[in-house]
Amino acid sequence: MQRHLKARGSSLVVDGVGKTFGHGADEHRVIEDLSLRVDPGELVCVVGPSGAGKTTLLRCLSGLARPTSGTISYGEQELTKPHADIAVVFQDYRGSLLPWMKVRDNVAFPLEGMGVKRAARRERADECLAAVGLPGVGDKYPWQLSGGMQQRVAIARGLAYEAPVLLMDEPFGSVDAQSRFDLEDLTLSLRERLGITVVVVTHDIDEAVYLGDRVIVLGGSPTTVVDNLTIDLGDDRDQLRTRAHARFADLRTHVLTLIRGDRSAAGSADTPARDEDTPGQAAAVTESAVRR
Amino acid sequence: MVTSTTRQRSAPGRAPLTGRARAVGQGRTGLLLLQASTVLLVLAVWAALAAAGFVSSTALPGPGAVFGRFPELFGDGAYWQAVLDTLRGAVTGFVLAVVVGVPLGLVTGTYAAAERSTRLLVDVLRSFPVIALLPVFLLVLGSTPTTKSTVVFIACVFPVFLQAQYGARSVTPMVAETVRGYRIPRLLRFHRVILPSATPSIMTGLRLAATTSVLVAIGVEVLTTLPGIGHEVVQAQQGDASATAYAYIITAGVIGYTINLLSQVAERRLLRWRPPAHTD
Repeated sequence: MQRHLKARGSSLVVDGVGKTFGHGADEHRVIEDLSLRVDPGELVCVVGPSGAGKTTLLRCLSGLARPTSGTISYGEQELTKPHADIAVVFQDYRGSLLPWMKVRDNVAFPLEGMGVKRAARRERADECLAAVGLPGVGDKYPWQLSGGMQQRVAIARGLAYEAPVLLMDEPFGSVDAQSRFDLEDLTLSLRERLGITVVVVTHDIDEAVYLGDRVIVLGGSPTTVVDNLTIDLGDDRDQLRTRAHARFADLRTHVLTLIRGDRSAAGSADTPARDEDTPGQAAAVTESAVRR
Repeated sequence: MVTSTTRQRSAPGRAPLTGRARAVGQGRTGLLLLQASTVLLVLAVWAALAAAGFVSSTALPGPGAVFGRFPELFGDGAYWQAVLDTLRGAVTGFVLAVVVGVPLGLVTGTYAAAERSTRLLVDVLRSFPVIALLPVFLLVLGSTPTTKSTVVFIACVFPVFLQAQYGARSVTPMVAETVRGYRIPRLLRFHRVILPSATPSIMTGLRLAATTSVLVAIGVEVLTTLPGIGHEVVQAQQGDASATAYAYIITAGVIGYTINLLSQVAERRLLRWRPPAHTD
C-alpha cells in the first residue's frame, strides 16, 4: 500500500530473519523466523517486551548488523550494510550526537560525508533544525540543550540526510512526558509533510498505537511477529482526543494482552481482548508491565 | 537553562558576580596567596640553611647569591645561546615525536588488529632506558645536535604514540555506530571523529612529552660535550661557580614550568567544546 502520493523510496522487506548471539554452549537465539514489510510512506511501530530484541531488529533494518539467517531487502537490493536511503535516530541521543561539534555541524555531518558544499550544508542544517522546532540553536553545543532538544537535533540530523526511510529506536524513551508528546506529534507531522517512511521501535504500547498506521507486535522466545495490526484511528491524531477514543483503548488493550499473555503463558493468549478491561485498568497495567 | 549556562560561561569580567562566583574568586585569591607563601617558605629555609653553614657555600649558595647571578647572565650572549641550544634539541625531537607518534597512534588505535600486532614491539621498545642507549647513538651519530634530538625523539615518541592510540580507542561504540549508520567516509571519520575524540588523551601525551623533551635534552648535555644548559651546569660546577650552576638549574625549571602553562592554555582552547565540569 502506497500511503502517500509523494512517498519516496522503496519497501523494506524482512523475510524469515533469525539472529543468534554467541557460539557453542553460549549460543542464544534472540530472533527467529521474523517477517515483516514496510511500504513507502507508512508509519509502522514495532512494539514488544523488553529484551525481545527490538534494538537488534532495528540494527538489522538499518544495515548496521547482519541477520544470522533470512534476508532483509530494500527494494530490489539485499541490505548488507548501511544504505543511503535509510537514516537512523538512535535511542541514546546523548551518545550519538558528537559532543565536539556544534549542533549545526552535527546535523550537517552526514551531508559533509556526502560531499555537499559548506554553504549548502549550513542552509540545509538550519532548515532541518527549524523543521524540528529548534531554530537558532545551531551555534550551541549539544550539552547546552535539554534531553528533549537533543533528541530533536538527532531527528534533524536524520532529516538532513534526506533519506526516504527514517528508523527510530525508542526515540522518546528518556525525555519528559511533555517533550514526549511534542516529539510524537513532530514525528507525525514530518511524515505527513515529507512523505517519508518511518519505523518506530518502542516498548510503549500507547505510543505505538498513537503513532502507527500499523503496529507490529513482537513476542515469544525467540522473538517473532505475534500480530500485525492496522490502526484504524484515521490520519488526524490528537494527543487528547485520540487517546481518549474508545477504539484507542480497544487497540491498546489488545496489544497489551498479546504482550502480557506472551509473558505469562508463552504465546498462548491470542484472544483479542475487546471490552475485557476498562481503559483505566489497562493504562495502569501498561505502565507496570512494560516499563523497563 | 540554556541561557543560564551560557551566561555562566561568559561570566568572568562581564556579568556582575553572583554570590557563589565571588566566593570562588575569593577562594582563588586565597589559594594564590597560599601557594606564594609556600614558595617563600622554601626560599626562606634555603636561605637559612645556606646562612647557617650546614652545607658549604660552594655546594649550596644562598638564594641571594643565585638570583644575583641573573642580571649578569641575562646580559651574556652565552647564556641565551645555551638556552637556545637546549630548546632547539628539545623542540626538534618533540616535534618529530608528535609528527610520527600521533598519526601512528591514531591509526593503530583505530584498527584493533594493528594495535594487537604492534603491542609487543612497542612494549619492548619503550622499556629501553633511553639514556642507556646514549653511547650507541654517540657511536653512530657522533657528538652532534642530531644525537640530542634523536634521543629526545625516542624518549618522547612513546608517550605521544601510546596516548594517541589510547585516545583513538576511546571513540564510544555509540559514536562509531552513528558514523557507520550515516556512512561517513574514512578520511572524514579520521579528522572529524577520531581526532577530536582522541584530543584530550593526545594533549596528556604532549604535555608529558614536552616536559620530558627538556629533561632529556639537558640530560644529554650533562653526559656529553654538546652545548646547552646541561653543559653550562657542569662547566660552572667544575669551575667552582656553583651560584651560576644553580642559576642555570633554575632556568631549566622555569622552562619546564612555562611549557606546562602553555600546554594548559592550548588544551583549554582545543577542548572548548567540553562542558564546564570537565574544563575545571
